[in-house]
Amino acid sequence: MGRTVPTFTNIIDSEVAGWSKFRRGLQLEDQEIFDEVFRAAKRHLATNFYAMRAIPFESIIMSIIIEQGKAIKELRRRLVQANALAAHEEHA
Amino acid sequence: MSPPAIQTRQPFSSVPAADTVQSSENLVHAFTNPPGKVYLLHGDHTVFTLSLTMASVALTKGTTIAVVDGGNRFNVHLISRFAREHRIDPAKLLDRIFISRGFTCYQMEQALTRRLPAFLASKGSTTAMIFNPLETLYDEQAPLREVRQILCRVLAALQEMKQRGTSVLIASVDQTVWPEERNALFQTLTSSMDRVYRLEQDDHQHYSIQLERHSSPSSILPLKGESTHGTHRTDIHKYHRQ
Amino acid sequence: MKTVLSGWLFDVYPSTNGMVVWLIDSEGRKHRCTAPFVPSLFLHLSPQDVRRAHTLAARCDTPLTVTTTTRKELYSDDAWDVVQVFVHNPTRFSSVVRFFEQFFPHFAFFDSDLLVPQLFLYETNLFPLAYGDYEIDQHHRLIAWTINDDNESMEYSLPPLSTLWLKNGNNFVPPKYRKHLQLEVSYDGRTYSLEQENPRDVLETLNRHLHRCDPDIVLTEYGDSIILPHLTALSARHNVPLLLNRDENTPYFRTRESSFFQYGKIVHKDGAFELAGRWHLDEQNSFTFGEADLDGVFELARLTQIPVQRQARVSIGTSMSSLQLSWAHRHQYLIPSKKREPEDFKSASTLLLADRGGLIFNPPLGYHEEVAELDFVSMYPTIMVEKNVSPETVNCRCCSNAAVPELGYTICERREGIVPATLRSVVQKRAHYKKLKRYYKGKDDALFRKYDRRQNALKWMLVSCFGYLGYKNARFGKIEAHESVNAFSRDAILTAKELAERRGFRMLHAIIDCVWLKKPDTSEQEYEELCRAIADRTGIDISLEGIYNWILFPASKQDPLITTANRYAGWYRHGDFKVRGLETRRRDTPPFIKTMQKAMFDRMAPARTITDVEALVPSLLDIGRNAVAMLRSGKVNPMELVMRRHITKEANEYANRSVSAVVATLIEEMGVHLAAGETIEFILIDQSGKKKPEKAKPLALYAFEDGYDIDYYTELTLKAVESLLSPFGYTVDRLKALFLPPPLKSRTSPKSRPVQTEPLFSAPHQQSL
Repeated sequence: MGRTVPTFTNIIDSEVAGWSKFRRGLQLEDQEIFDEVFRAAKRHLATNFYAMRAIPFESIIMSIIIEQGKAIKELRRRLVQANALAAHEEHA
Repeated sequence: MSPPAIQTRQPFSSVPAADTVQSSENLVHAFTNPPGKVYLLHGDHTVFTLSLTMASVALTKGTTIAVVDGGNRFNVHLISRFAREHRIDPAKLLDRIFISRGFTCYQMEQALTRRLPAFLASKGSTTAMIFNPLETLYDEQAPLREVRQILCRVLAALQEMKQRGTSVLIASVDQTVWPEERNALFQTLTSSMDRVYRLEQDDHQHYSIQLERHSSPSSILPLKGESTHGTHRTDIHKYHRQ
Repeated sequence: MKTVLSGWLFDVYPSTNGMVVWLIDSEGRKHRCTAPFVPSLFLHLSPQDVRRAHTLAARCDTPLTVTTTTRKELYSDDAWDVVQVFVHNPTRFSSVVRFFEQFFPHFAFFDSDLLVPQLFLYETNLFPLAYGDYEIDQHHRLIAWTINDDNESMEYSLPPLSTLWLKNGNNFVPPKYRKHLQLEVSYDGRTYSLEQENPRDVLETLNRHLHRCDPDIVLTEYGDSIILPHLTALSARHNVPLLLNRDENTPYFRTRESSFFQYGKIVHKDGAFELAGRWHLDEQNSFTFGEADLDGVFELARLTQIPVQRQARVSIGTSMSSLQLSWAHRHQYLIPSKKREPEDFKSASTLLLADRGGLIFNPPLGYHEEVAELDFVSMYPTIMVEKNVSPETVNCRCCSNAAVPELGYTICERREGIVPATLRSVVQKRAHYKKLKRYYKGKDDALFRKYDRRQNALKWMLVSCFGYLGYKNARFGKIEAHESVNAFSRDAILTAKELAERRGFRMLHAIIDCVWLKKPDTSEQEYEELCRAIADRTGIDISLEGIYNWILFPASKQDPLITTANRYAGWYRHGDFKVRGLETRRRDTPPFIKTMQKAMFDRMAPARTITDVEALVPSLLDIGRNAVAMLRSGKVNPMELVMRRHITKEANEYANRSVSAVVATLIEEMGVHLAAGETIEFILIDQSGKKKPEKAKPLALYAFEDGYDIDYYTELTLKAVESLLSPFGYTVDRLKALFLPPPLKSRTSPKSRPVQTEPLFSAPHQQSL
């Protein structure tokens, strides 16, 4: 029995394909970031799939925002840690 | 009244260009005013994109549409993308277009002869689309004799719906199938249409719609030597929650 | 004067005035009897057509009796007036159906496409291998019986059965490719070669063996496709009748081979060659036999009421279907000849939510510790049984509730559906056999294997019932039921995730009915408590498969920075190894590479932590290095490099010169015709075709001088090593630099990209190493 609604991986690939002109115009290093950004969506396949919103791009964007949020949180943590270490060494 | 030929700068498969939508609007207008006609649009797989664009246009005008899909061609995202492009809440369109999928010719027959008219009546809708009605008839596991009878009963049902004021658009992708005899089913289909449009693509990837046939269909004669009248046709699902 | 025989039902097939029934008594003696039986079909017609049916029946050349009666229709549960047509000669049943099909449309026919033996068994409630007391009169007519057996019981006895093996002497190459058959016959512990020059002598010798052994079972390899058709053709040509059938007055039961499109692939089925009064089982043409041996075939035949020869050959969907048809017949429901209920009209919004399968979470890349796997037990069948999901119960007209999550479909509260009714005992049986299997493991090998085979056969039936619910040829099936099961399944996984998270677990991965959880320092008891909590909430049993010492989620072949679902490998603490999706497991991987990767996994068995795994890396690299060295020396046995693929078209339909096209053509030129969907086996000689234009040689034509494409197989080997070692930085390129002499490493395949050293979003695998 055939599925009518495509798998979410297909939907992401379809969206990426729709952005191919945009990607083409980017600098090489920006293209790498572009790829990484959509890869974030692939890490959240199940979430996107379960929500199955009418406009898939909306949930893809949410996945990317969440991944960016995680990266920011991690950076903040490392920064605090590095500052604490520097402060400690200063006082030593 | 023949529709204008459509020239587009890009293939239909991407987001429809403004002039495509305009042409779709013209087609939709011709198709639904007055209602009560059976049209066929055939060509490559782009016929489904065009049909769904036409459907999207009709949906924005408040039409309710029923689609019977015989080849798994329905694309929900095309409609939601259309909504997004036109700044409409997708749910408003997606809630007004209804689909029934058939994977065997027997399911298609039941859907088209019994379910579709009943559903349209229940929703007060006069617009229907059928995607690839012949595809399930090409299945070798269904005998040719039976398949021919099914097609005749289906076409008769479409004529009945037309008399009651329903507009039916059939979208069919051109294919050559094996065994040879099944290809004749397409001729049977076209002979029953009010109009037949062909979607053509030229060397520069431009699509245009050509009117192939424009005549009142001949009465559907049973094929020689075969009995086509249905016997006690009971809808085994008339009690089903719909 | 009648006799009462205590024994088993062995075989049943139609004859001109009833059914032929073969019985085996406790001493192994065979008895051929006849049982009166008049099969019937139903026609649902308008009043004028009822009269027409009577007239037509009189015109039919087979004697018929026509009456009117009532039967129920499954979806509405209403009683319908129907015409019942009794066919007095059971062998003419299908031709009578075809006769009426000229006059009435398909939707008028009910119970018309069932096989007569099955109709007989459904009607009488008998089943293959049923043990009981059978009363036979002096004319060998079976007049009554008392069955001291139940086809749902888990303990049953089997008759003494004698077996004769009939094989092609040379097993190296499948007989399809051999011009001459060289037969071997084995029974009673001895093997005989039929090496006679004269075909006539071969046939007569075979007859002598058949007569001497009088086997109940004739077991073959390729008997359906090659051996028996060949023998019967020889028999006709040389006028030597064969003693294959025990019943000499009955012909063989044969069907043709076919290729057809199913689920996006071309599938090929061999024809069947069944005997009368004896069982012919072809190991090569029996899915169930291959998976579960005779124990499995017998278990299914009893349960499904499909005679053993047929049961060995049918697909798993047919087995499930038979349970439903039997139930329907017993409860006097009409069985439609074709499934015709289409989907109910649903809005596109609903379609978006409904048309989905189970949940699949992508796992985090690399090696992980403290991970446990929990599996829902028979999730889909259990959902169908516990939630009453069935074609006629979903969105019934009598009830209104929003029982199905996400979709809000109604599920009938008034009656139990045909699907749960028939599945319940199968689920229970399988659970029982699994318990017995676990109990006897290590204690009694024979019993362990028996129960393992039985539960395996049932497992496949249960696997089919999910796809079957929506599959287009399922007699009773509705998409909405299929959608409901999927919705319940998604809800169950998320409920499991939520309960686990509340207890401090993290869910790393989930596929449809399995979840992988991580929580440091967690005991088996704690996991089992979690299982109980999840089972209580969802209504579906879930069990701990095991806690892994370590588990690997390898990178996708397309993108080294993400994983794909259903690919993993790991060693459980309790000593077992599990692998999915990797080269070791894939059917198309050549044995050489499978062996190498398996050796690597075996080397990793003692590792308790990821640190242990990392310490083993040099040793694992050695395995890879040796494999590559062997390949490059040209000394690998080409039989270890055989690749297997399905062909999608026939030889002359290929437009290109792909490897499949080339191989299929070569086989065609040999005089062997392969249909679409069949498998080809070949060795790659030169992928580019530049040095050797034929690119590859089919196994049957291969000669050792042909050699093999060293670079291609090296690449495959390195990819198999990369699957395991890429988390430690070993990509194919790096492996090439390590293993290969300098001149050969320069050719970088265009597909491989340098791994980013600083991914934008911190990839979890960097954290767990």
